[in-house]
Amino acid sequence: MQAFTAGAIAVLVGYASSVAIVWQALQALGASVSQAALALAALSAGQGFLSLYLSYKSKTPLLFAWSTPGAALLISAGVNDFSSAMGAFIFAAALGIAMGLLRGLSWIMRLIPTQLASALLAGILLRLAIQSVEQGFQQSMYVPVASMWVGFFFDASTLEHRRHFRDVAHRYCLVSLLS
Amino acid sequence: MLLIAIAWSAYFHRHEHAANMTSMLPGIGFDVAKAFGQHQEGAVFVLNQWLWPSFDLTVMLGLGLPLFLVTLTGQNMAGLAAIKSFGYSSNPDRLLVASSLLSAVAAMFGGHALNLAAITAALCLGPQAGESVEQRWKASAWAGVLYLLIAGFALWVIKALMWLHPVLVLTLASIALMSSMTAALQQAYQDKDLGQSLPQTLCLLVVLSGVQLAGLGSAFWGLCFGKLAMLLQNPRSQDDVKNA
Repeated sequence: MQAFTAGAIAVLVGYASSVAIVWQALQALGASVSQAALALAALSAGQGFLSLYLSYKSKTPLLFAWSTPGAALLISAGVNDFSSAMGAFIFAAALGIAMGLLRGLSWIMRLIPTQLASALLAGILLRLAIQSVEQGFQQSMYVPVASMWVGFFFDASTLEHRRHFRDVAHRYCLVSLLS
Repeated sequence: MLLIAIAWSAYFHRHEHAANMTSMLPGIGFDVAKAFGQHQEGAVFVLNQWLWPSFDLTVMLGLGLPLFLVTLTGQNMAGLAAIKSFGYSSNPDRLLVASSLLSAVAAMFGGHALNLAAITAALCLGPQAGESVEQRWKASAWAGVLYLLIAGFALWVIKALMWLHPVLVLTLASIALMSSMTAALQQAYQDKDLGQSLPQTLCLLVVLSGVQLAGLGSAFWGLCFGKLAMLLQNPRSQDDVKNA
């Protein structure tokens, strides 16, 4: 149940946080509504297949996603021909396959020790928390955002930790899905 | 919707966890209010506009190359860093080849790029995905199942998710990731000798700044500056021993 909840939150956050950017990118490149919807379905199926198959095979939590920074880049690319944009997507994928076959990524990752990798992850996650508060205040959403944070810290200080995270994760996910 | 929320809170009241509900009520209330204020137009998922890709050299170099670089440095390297941070081993090249192959298939349907997740991956890698490290793969496998299920209803799901306020989603994500963040910080500063922690701090600060240089994001530059500081701080040989 705990694993399912974590997975469901990951899917919810993955979609809800960046689907608008991907949608905007596809439309900026000249895709029609049904073409963009097909593209999103293909991306979802692709990341679903990769996550399920590779996690099961390696018994390691490997989660895949569409490229959000890539989509942000496409919005301002100034290309308005979806057919040739698709050609560029295939070219980018071919570059990835070539780099993987040449063992380029392993070489880069070997240069990065665990401390730096952890600092990078901590930076990304801290930034997320800061943005939550910052944007909450900019968009006059202090009441819901502050209440969620206060509620979290109140709970975290009163309940046993591990059980707490499971429960909070569980409820946030389901309630968000419901609302 | 309100009935569901009330039933939900009643259910958890009985299970002695009602306190947690208080933190979510404002969020739900806001979304419900917003949902009522919006009219949704029904859009149909149709396949009548099939498009073949065409290969234009300028677009391939001008769009494909930056897309590859940004995806590699902004997502794949960050995702591998997350996997490494939690102590899992992986074969980066095999993962890159697999995601690029599926990316090519998705591109035939118009999908732009697939890669390792970073932020959402941390949700499946951290303590909230399960107490036992060996069992956490089930979290990302479940996520995969959900992604596959959702694929057929992509457009409806998007319409539904656009009801959620982006700031609330951001808050939900950051709250859910607090334990992963703490774990990552502990990993980063595991050396007791604080004089040796400059590279981590530099990396953390650059990533936090969110700078964009030469089209590449702060994740890449954070690693670059951190590695540079590490090379300046340690003699070459010592550094290699540390990595091994």
